[in-house]
Amino acid sequence: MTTQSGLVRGWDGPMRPYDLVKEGAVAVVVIASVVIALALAFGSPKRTAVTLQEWATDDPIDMATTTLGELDGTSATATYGPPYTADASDSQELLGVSPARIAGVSIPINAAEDIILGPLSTFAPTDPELAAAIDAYRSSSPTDISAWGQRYRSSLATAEIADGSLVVTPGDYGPLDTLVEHVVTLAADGSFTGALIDGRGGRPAFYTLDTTRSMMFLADGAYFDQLATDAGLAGDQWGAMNTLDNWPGQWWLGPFSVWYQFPPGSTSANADLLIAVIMGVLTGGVVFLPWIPGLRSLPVRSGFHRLVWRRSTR
Amino acid sequence: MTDVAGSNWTTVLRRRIERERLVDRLLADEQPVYVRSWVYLFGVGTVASLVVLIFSGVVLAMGGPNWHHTSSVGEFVDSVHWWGVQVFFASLALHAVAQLLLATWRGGRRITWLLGALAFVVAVPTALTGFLSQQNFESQWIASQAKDAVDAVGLGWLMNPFDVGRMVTFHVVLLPLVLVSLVALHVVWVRRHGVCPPLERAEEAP
Repeated sequence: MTTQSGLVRGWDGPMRPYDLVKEGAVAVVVIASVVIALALAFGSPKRTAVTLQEWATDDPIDMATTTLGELDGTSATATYGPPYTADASDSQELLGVSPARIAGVSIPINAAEDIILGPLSTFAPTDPELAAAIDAYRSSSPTDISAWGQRYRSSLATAEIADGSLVVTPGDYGPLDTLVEHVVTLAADGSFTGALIDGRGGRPAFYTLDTTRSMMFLADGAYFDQLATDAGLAGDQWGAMNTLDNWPGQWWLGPFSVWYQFPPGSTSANADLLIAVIMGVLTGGVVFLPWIPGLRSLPVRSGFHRLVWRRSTR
Repeated sequence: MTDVAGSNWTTVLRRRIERERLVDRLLADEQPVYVRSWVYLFGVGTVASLVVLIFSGVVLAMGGPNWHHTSSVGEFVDSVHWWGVQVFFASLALHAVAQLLLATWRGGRRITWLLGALAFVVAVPTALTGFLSQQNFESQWIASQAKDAVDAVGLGWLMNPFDVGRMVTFHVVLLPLVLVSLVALHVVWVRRHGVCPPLERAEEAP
């Protein structure tokens, strides 16, 4: 009888010498060597973050259109619902249940104030035209803002850039055109980003660890979306598991990403919630597999075990 | 010295460990003869990858989350950590599929399976928060997409992918604590019951 007899549940057969510690040590050395070699040979995907300045420079009309959306309440952020805004009419739901609605607003964002007017206000003391436009917006009715917004949006669709400035058909846009043009100009020279950093009470903060408002603004535009699509990262391009160029991404998210490639995952307005539920059920099935009769018998039918244990079965 | 049975937790724990011969099991220098297939390398490969991730992660933490943007050494260590993630999940996926096809929850090893599966589940957000901590274009895009899934299930209050500070602390502190704990418990349970015998020798059918 060996020293390890009885230590393996369900096995009273022969044992053989084994060095677990040496195996582990060798494994660490081998894995570390492989990883270091891969890092030396290939590096890793690196693409610097997109800035508001780049956006304003590369596609000022898209930034202008997005800014208008924040101001007239039509942007994705302004209409998102919980956790950002109180209007939960567009929140995803399944069988009448909306976890987002139940959770409520936990990251409050007033798109017009927090993304546009608050940051612009920091420039108002030295810009009377801007200060007047901000005051005019804040004293305007939602009806007027909506009407100006519709007219200005139509003009932006045919806007041009001349000498670095946005040129639109003259019209009655209230203070919207002034506000939008200031955002694009300030973003292009890099000064809007600093004003947009999150702070308590709407004032710019000193430290920046929360990029929510900057990112929601950027993500509201078509420019950012197009960059991702060009890089093959969109949702219908297996984006959840994909990454830049030919680099391996988070390929282990394949079982999650696959559901977005065909209906209803690719078409439903409730796709994220639906797929989260599907993945929850599948994950539960895997985690609790040993307790599920019938299902726990399936893997054995592959015959893979005969390949692994053929020596011991002879 | 009088020992009132069950009243001294230390005594109870020590006697449990002695009764189970836990030290002998943890540091066993013998294995059943069926432990000789290449399949048994995937588990130790996963643990070894995790060790490499922890070491490279500690070095990255010392440099801070911006280090890889400002230093070539930082960039290299970041690449080591990045490839470590790829090798970790490759080993983990092979290990998980192999254990699934071998039905190694047999013979009273269901908790072993549960702990390993939970570790796999926790590893996914651990990696995700790492990608979110990179502060590059990829981070921006992943964050903008992840928020929709997180918000749809009502967890926006718990995990805001745009809050870089929070994602870094999730990735460096919170999730590794949970992951390493689950992996450690999983390994203890594997050693506690021993490697699952071949199907024809199992105590119970799957």
